[in-house]
Amino acid sequence: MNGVLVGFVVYLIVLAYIGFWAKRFTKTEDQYFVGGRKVKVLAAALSDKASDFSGWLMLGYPGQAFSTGLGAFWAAIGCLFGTLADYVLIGPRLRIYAGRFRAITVPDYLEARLKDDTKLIRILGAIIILIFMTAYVSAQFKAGGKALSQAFGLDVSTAIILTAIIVTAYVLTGGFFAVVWTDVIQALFMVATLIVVPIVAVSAIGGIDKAVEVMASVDPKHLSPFGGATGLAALIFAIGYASWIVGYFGQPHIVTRYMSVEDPRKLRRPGIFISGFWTIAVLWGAFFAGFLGFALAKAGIVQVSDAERIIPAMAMALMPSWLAGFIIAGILAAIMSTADSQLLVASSAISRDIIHKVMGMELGKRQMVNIGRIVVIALAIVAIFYAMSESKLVYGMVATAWGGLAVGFGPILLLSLWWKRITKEGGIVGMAYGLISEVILEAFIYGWEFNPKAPGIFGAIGATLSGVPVFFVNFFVTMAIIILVSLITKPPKDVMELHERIFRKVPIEVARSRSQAENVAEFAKANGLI
Amino acid sequence: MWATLIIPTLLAIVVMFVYGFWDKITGKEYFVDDEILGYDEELIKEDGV
Repeated sequence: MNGVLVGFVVYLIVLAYIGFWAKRFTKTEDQYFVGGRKVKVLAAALSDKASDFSGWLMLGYPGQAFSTGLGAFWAAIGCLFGTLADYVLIGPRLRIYAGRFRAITVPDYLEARLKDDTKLIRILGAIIILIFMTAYVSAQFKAGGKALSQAFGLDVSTAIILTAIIVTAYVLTGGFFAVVWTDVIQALFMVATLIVVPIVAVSAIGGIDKAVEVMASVDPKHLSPFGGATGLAALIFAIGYASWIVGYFGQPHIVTRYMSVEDPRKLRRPGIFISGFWTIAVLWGAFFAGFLGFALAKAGIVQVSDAERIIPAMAMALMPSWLAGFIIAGILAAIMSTADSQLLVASSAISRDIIHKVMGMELGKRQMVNIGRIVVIALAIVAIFYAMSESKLVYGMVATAWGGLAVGFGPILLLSLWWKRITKEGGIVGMAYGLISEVILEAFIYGWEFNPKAPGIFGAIGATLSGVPVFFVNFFVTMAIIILVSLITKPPKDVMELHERIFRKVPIEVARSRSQAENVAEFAKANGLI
Repeated sequence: MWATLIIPTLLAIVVMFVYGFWDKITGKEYFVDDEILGYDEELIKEDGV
């Protein structure tokens, strides 16, 4: 307990220091919400991944690997290739447009890209962010509350409020820079945790071969790549997990990191390598924590009642208290690094998109940042209320959040970055369809995946697609709608011309600014020094 | 078991290297100037960011 407390206090001091340091970079909306588009690529890439992976990485995914075995690795494949797809298809192009349009939020970019003078795209974008992000933040507060409550024996409600206060404090003071740099610390904590836990687990069970032997004797399905399924069932099993890939295109708390990076070309190199190798390390670690945890539990070495608690259970059973404290801090880091990014993005939807741009309230730079801060507090209070609520509607919104954002923003972002022919009408219809259909299909009809229990015709569709995540199919339906509406309408000529011009490629000698060493070498050569 | 884990991971590493060095492979890269970088003006004055 003392080890856990000391580790946690040190962690809080680091967060407080970063929040205080970053306060000097919160003079304008540009700085507060997107780091002035001058965030170092190392920080942006690590922040991207720390924001992406929430408590799911430390609790949910090891729980899946514990329950399903080898088949759960498909989720890791989905997350890994989703990460890479973001860098290949979204990152650099979004950063180029964001800089050109001085866009701070995703709706900012979409409105400028599609030249939407109706403000409908901005309003729809803000609604999608508000509904799903606020629910998402509340889920993080709840997860953080549960983790804190178990670590320190606090009442869950008190722990939820404490989590919210910690996160809100540094978001409030330091804005985007505080969020990004705390994410960097949290990303390092997460990767260290997920390297230590499997190593300790392997050593406790006596090697991977021994773990495999235990699993084979208890449940051979744990060693099947498709959870024991064959044929079409195996394909649906794999799609069910790997479908996360398309979800990555539409997460505003992730893609905002690309909009903030100092240079779009750095997302290609070193950006994709930083994110890619970090993701491989944490996903292998989280998978093996659950996979080996199952063998440890079956061998009677670790006692665990809930599969999702396998990492904390291993920490308490196999590690000294100071190291267990380190592991608990890693879990909290995963939760907080997602909550802070989502809170900031959600507040930007109100203060930047609604108050500043839709309502046209133009105040001084500092006043606009202060409005952003007030909105952060208001949203944190709403998220606390949601986190404590047992309402079915709130639960439905939380369960729908990933899919809602994926369908609401994914298709429009992808098409607007790669297809010059997309129109604002296509965007408006597609985003409206994405928002409404996701809420209806996921929150009221099917839940996360298609199933035959749904009423009427939905039951027949559910039987055909049984087991496939709803958002995965709806993503492509939304994309088809945007393409169809765009083809029967016409984009302005200047918008298409800009799209062609802005993504033109030039020889790398022109594109890459020369390094200091190259400048020195040229100077030396010109002056006959070498 | 190891094939399930290693093959997709190696494939991902190949994707990383091909995309990461695509500019070297093709000899071309996106054109970027100050207009596209679009840094916050007040931030440019700050050091150490």
